[in-house]
Amino acid sequence: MENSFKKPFKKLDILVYILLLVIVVLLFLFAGLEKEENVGGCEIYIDNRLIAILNFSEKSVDVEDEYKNVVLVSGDIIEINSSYGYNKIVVDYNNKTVKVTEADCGFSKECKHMDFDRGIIICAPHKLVIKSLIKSDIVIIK
Amino acid sequence: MKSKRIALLGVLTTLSIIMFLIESLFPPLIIPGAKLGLGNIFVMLTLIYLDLPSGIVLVLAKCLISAMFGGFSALIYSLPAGLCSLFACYFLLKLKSKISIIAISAPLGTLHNLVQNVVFCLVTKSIKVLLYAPYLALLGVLCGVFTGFVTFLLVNKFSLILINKFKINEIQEDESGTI
Repeated sequence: MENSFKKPFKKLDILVYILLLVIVVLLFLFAGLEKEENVGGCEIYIDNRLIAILNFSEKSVDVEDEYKNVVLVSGDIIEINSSYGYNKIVVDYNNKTVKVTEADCGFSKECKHMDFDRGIIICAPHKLVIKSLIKSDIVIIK
Repeated sequence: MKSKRIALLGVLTTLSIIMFLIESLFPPLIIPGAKLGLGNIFVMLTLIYLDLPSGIVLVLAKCLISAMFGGFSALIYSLPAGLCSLFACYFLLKLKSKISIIAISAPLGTLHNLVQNVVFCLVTKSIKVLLYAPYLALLGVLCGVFTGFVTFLLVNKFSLILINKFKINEIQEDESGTI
């Protein structure tokens, strides 16, 4: 086999690593550590269609009429039973956050590990998107 | 000699599919969407021992067959990411005299994760998805270095086995491709 692959580290490597470091730092500066201060609620979409709006301060869940059979609300728990699959969402009204606790999607169930602080939670196989809303947005929707 | 190339490609493709299935059993690595990217090992091996068309076949076959297990909706994410890192790998390998395998593999991991993130953003029409990008990029570099190291070990040990036992250096010499 060719000799070019014998060494694990060559001089120009440093250039590659520095370039990557720069990219990572830039990304962190633009996106990284922001946490939404004014979270007022969130929207739940399936397949890019709005099916429910949550309001944290009023502790209310507003479900669009046509989708009332898909969304089951019982106290702090919202269960979604769409044609794509099942997801269980637990709402913490006091801390103004939501979390997906159960899902029957594939193997890795990434939605359960997503952080609402980032502003968005996605269950890709179920086309489920939960977006956070800031307080002023909620007022306009009402 | 073409049959040897096809057989080798078959083995590499199967291994990368198995790797994908094993990886999907792991919970997400800290950040959702960040995978160990062990499949990239086989992309690199294909581009080193075979050629670009074989690499394209590997990525397409791997994505399609993996979709049969994990759901076809995953194709919008895995295909662009896989093809982008394949072509990036192809171009980076041209510089192999100046950069080591590990440094070639590091950007591949980052690119794969970032492309998936961008596709997520386009599919959900929400820019907030990009907030995960920095963490994905950082993890991509770390995983890329890891897979690069594994590939490095494989290329240096595997080569000897391939050449001595299976006389696979004949694959490289035969450019005409006749059977």
